Amino acid sequence: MADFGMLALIVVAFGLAVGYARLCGGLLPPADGSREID
Amino acid sequence: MTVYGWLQTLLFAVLMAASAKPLGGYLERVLAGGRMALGGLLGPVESVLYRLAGVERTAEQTWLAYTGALLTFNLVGFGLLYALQRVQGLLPLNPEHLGPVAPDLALNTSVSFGTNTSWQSYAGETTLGAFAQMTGITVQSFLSAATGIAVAIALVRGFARRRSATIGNFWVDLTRVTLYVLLPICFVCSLFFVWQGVPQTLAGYAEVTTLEGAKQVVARGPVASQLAIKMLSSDGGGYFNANSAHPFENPTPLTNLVEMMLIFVIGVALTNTFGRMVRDERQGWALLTAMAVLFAAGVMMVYAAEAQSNPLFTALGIDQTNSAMQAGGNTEGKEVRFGIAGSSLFATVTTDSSSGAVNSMHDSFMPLGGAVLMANMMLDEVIVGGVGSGLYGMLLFCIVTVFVAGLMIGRTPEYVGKKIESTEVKMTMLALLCVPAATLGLTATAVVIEPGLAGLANAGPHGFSEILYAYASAAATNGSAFAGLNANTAFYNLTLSVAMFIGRFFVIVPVLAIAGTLAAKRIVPKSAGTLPTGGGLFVGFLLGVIVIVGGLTFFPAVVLGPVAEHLAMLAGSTF
Repeated sequence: MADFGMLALIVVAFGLAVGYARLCGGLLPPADGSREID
Repeated sequence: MTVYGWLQTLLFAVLMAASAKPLGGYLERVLAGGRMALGGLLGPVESVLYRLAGVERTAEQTWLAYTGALLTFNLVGFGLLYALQRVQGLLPLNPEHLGPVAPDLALNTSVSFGTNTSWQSYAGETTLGAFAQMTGITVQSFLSAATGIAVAIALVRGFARRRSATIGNFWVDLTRVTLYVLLPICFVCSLFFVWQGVPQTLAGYAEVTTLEGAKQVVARGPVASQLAIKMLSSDGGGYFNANSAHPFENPTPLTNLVEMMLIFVIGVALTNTFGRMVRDERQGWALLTAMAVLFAAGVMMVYAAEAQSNPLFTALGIDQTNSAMQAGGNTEGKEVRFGIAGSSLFATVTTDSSSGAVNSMHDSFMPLGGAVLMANMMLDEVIVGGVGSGLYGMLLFCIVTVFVAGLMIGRTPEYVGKKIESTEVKMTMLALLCVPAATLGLTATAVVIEPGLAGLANAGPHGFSEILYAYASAAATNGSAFAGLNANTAFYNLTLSVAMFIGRFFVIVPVLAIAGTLAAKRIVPKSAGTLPTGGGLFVGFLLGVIVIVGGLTFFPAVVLGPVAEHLAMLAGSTF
């Protein structure tokens, strides 16, 4: 039972990291450089 | 302090500086994807690995795809290392019949080695058998190091490329770094360590008869092969509990020097790789100079603190002067084979990098010596740092530096031809703030609740230092321990795992996001308003930013720990 709990913690942690990556992605400007300043 | 001690440090620094250019060039060739001299031998292996994994070596990834591949790969690695520890009792090459590792400790260890931290809440020789050490710990040391280098190179590609939607291929970077960099160096170094007396055997522990006639069990195993990657990966997880203070893990002064060199060698070389990839080697030398200044300051302060007499002992009339008969200074917790200079240098190197290897007990350092070791980790491991993580940590500080300089002169900041805009600064702050948030938040929690205080061996500011050091070490993915804190409890195993995970992946994600946004930009030509970043002025700026950011963030906590202990010691109190 404890093993499932620990493995679930690992999966949740990586799930949070994926969510964090998506959040960072949401903060990025479009990749076409259209908002780049001179 | 002795001339011999300083010469030892100088020799180390010269050897490291000399290694930067040749290895930096080699790393660039490996990561550019071209044919290698070892290609005849390893090329077929590389091709087979790609075929088995279904990887197209020329297919590049966006930063999100790169991040997804990295996280997926690490998730699987964490799970496998956890499972390996839990079923250890069923595994071969375990003549000591070591049983399954407790769930919370197994979680801590899998996170620790998966994040290149190597925090060890366990004693290696009484917890893990040869099979688990070889297929679990050693494998993760290779893969976590390759992951760190891959992330650093992805960020460098972000700076070097123009109008690119991709930053490389994680699987190809991981494979090539492991095959062409880590494995060859480790193969040669393992043989060197065996020659110097490090055991490499699957025969199990030996029972010997001591001079008094008693029976004693001597732990041994495949140590040399693990030792090489332990140092090269700046991982630092010891086969034995005493780590590199153990005579089987660091038998001679020569192995001591080589171990320190292995810790730094890739981190130093990557600065040169960076310079080559952005087509201006001075940029790499500027980063290395900043690292060298911080390293030299750290060694001087630690060596000075440890070579001094302890005033509490002086008051008791104890002679602590350096003479032909004794080392003098603070020798508590230090291996006599390495002495004060060798211990101070090793401790500085290991905390500058993300290596948790130790050849002395940091808990026994003088308060100010211990404070410097903590500060090294609190500066986000940018003084050479971990393999890959040191370079991308330093590049984050470069972004902050050009941003601050841009505010001062009223121009849009640029770094190596790329405009640094609000997105990069936001991502940089996310990456730089998560480490202090984890360190200070968890330390503050641990010092006010019973499970956090239960593991302490010392009271007062020294006890506080033990807890602060543990979380600083975990969040900075260093892994060295101050000792004195029993961290093998459910509370510490879980909270240190949280700190390690945040300190690794919550930094990597925004770093890769920066790589993606930078790669998409064009390269702007230098103008009169461009701050030169390859010279002394920029190095000075950069050092100022690192010290001020680190100082402002952690100074209050350090005052409560080692600084308070130092002042109490001068007043005659000890803890």
